[in-house]
Amino acid sequence: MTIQNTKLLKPTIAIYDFTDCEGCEVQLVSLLEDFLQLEKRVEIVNWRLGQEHNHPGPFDVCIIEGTPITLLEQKLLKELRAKSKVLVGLGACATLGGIPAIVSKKQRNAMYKKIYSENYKPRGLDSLPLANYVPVDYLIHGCPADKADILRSLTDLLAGKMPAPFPYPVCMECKLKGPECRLLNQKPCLGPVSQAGCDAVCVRGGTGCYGCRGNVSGANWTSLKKTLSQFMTHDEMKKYVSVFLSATDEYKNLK
Amino acid sequence: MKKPIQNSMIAKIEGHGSLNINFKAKKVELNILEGERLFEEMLIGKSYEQTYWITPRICGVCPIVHALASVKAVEETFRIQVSHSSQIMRELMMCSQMLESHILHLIFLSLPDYLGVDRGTEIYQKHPKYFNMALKIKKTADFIAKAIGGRPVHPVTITAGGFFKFPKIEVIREIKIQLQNIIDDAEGLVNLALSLKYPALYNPCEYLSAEPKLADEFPIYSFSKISSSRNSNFEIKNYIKEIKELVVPYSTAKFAQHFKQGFMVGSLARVLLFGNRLTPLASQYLNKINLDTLRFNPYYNNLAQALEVLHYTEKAINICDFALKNGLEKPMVGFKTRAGRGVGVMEAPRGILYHDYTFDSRGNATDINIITPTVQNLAHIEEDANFIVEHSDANESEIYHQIEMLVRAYDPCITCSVH
Repeated sequence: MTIQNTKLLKPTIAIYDFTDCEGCEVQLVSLLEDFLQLEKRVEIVNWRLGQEHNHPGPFDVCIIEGTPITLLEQKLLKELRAKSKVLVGLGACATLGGIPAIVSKKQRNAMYKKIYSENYKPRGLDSLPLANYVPVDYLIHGCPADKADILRSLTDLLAGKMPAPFPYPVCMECKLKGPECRLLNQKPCLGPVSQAGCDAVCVRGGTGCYGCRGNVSGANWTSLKKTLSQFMTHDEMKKYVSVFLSATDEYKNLK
Repeated sequence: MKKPIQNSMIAKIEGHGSLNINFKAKKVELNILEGERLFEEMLIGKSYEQTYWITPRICGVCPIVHALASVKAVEETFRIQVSHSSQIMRELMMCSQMLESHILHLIFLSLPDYLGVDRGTEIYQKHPKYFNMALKIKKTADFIAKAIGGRPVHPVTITAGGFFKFPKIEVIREIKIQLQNIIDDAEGLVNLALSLKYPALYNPCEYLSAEPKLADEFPIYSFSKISSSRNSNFEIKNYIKEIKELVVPYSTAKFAQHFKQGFMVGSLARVLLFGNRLTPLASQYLNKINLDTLRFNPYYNNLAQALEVLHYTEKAINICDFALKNGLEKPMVGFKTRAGRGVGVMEAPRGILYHDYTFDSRGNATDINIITPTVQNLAHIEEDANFIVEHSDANESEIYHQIEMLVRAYDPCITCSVH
């Protein structure tokens, strides 16, 4: 794979956001000096949040944050796929469906009526990850995406290399950092099945892992469910897993 | 000057909105195009601890204030009184929230309009002094948010009852040193904001802000009621009768009104209502300004934000001093879930934020209502935009640009508004 653009020499980058909280873009900007360094090596040719003058493409790399909820967003996603050499999903909304996916397509109509009004004409269709609509080349997971992981992934891409997912679970990083194991203390945690790369920041802060970084390869859900069921009801487990993983098979298999 | 492209997404605002300006009819529609996010219904049935885990995801720019409004609603329902140490650590987090959000808005979204550049990072090449100032303030804000909340975006240490853990006292000492090192930068930012030429506009409106419990305190964490510039104060719990949210056909966000009119919340409202409570340095600068110039011109919201950056820097130093002198108690108090309702109100960077929750006895949510600052500002942004189209004799491109600048001056958070 090469993302070298011979005419401009610098690879062209587009950053798009669909419906979401834009926290992953905040993370990107919060790279500060590292962001400025990165910026020197690329041409950011399209970034609505950051600039007014935007180029329609094609792009060497297109980074997309958020969930394509409206028809407009779903159409745009397909266009962006067609004109981007490399398409990258940024953050749990894009990579997993995340928080927006808690609401299923089936539930949406009743919710529109309740929040807006009986005759409200909705724009939203469904809240699923990017990969449900188009092939995606790489996923930068997390809610929010981790700054170091964003930097690592983008640096790899600029070097002409496809970044690799973390091959070990959150537990690995957690054990190295030393907080007591939540599961041993009978507190919910999805650390054993979730991809690392976050330095177990939630567990170290006192909250359980909700699995925002998606499955680690070889995730043993059967075993984790057995452990969780020792201190959680099936309903509690479902509610816990639903936070980021509602659009995944693992959640659907809990029903 | 850029040619107006009707209905194209407005750049450099948080979230997706576009302007539909009818120059003949002299009427502006602010289209809000974000997909419906349905947070209020999404939370039904979720447990109380998931409410303050999920609601920060309404906004990546102001997640801390959503977490705090949310946990306050839970604590009010369960009748939990957090320790004084927890309260001041939450106040310190709020200072970092204000610094972080205001700096992002001023440098990356608003200032380029005034300095004649496009992307915020261009300021780094053209005005490195300003950019480095902003960089230092942003770093300090992130350092504080990480030290107390675990990370700047979407905190992980907040729980009903207080915090899972507090930073070590050495870290508070380090926070204080960093804050002292940015006082000059915060002053520089105020001087910069004072030097900008703001477009003229005079369109009277009502200003609302949550009123602090303490009589001499500028808004931060504890509030007694909602204060109005038109003597129409109201009790927090009555917000639902006072603030009417309207559904408009071209927007996925509701437009709120008070007495059937738009009103303004946020930095400018806070400074106009409670400016006499700013910290000493910030007061010195405020005293140089004729408040009547600021009143009813929303472009000055940017100046008010800069003043607040200085205020919250000083305030944060005071909080550190208190913690260093008195130490910190246990981070968490015990509690039991109980059925009931609680309203958590906060002053977010962009204005009043209401989280109104009802729980069953097991602590599962049965009813949720959230009103964000931008929902409250939208109607008045449109009223101001209409005022510009009606009264300006500039050409269409200039009017279009001026209205875009107006929208940005309000610092709208469209993602928040479609929650």
